[in-house]
Amino acid sequence: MIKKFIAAVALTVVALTTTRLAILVMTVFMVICGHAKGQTSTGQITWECTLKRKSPDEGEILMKARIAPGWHMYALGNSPNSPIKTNFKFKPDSSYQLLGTVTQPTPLSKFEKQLGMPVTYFENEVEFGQRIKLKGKNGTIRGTIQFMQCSDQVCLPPQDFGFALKILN
Amino acid sequence: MKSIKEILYCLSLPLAILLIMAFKGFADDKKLANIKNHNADKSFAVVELFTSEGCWSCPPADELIAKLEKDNQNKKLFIMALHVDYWDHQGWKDRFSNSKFTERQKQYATWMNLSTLYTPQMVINGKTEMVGSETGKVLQGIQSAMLETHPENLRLNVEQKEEKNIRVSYISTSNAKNTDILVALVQKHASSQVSAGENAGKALSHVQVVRELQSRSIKAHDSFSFRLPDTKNQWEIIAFEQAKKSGEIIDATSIEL
Repeated sequence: MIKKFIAAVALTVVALTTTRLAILVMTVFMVICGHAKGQTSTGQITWECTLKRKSPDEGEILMKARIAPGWHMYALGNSPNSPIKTNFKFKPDSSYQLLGTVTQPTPLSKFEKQLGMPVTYFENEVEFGQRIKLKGKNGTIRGTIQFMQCSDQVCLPPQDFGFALKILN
Repeated sequence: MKSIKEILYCLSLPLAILLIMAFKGFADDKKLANIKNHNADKSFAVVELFTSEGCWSCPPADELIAKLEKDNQNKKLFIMALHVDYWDHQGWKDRFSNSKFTERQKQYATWMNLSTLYTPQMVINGKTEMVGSETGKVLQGIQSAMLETHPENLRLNVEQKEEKNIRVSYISTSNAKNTDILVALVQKHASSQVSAGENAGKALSHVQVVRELQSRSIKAHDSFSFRLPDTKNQWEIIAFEQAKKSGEIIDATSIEL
């Protein structure tokens, strides 16, 4: 409601300095935006995982999430006392060894009134990385990503995404 | 003079939008009042809200059922909040959550051919579902349910009430085939403390919280036993008959304890 009110005020300011056509276009755009928000309730996050070679014996597992418009996905590092579950698990294998922990870009942050704590999250697209030391010529990296997503209206239960990456010479 | 006209023209569209929004709020209030004062025979609405304290898009839906429950005169409006457990994990737990309620939500997803679970989800008479915070759609759904008529075959009676031990019995004259009887123990009002963060200790309030849900194939008569978690709160039993194959709720009744 407040967002819509601010949008309406902003529209008025713009409208005072532009043509009638611009007003109509913006009004239609605003109405469409409001409508589209309600249409994304099943928008799913899609994952793409790749292995990037940095040197003959070092690589990085890149895990890219594409987040549907109107949705957000929770970042690593949220309080264990919150309901947020985001984690990455890699199945140990003789062909590789993890170097450090999963890295992420700086997330967005907001104070979650109901939980009484700040929460961090991403919108649109985010890429996580995990550096690895390559120990064998062949092998498979298997992992599971557990993540959670919400829109302004609904939250989906935690989901698991499993992947397998072949280490090629 | 021309510039004043120009300004008025410019202002008219945003104002019209604001007026439409205000009117929508007014229309929702009117629908809400109509539902709460409605008392027709042979029609009912069983409203199930799948929610969780760990889901921060849920409070508007919780507030909506609180509005429906407050000063409700409609004896055929049966409201139940079922707290799912998929938000719980080590370090966080909704004390009203129950894996049986998650299973029930999964069952609805199967009946309704939905691709995913989500909260807050509202299910009306086991037939229609919508986002629990979409006030207009929820109220419209309840009004539509109230327009349908059903035979009233279910009678509920409190057989025993000793301290925390409750036994309720029902009599059914239903001829429907392949249906279950479900009996819910409902806590009328509840509050929970935020356990972590800067607002630790802050209370979250809830209404119509289902604490236990039992289900069996329907018979001509049967009884169910419950143990109240406490005797300080107000309690209600809601019983309803539900089709096993489709999930449609075909009869419902309730009794205060």
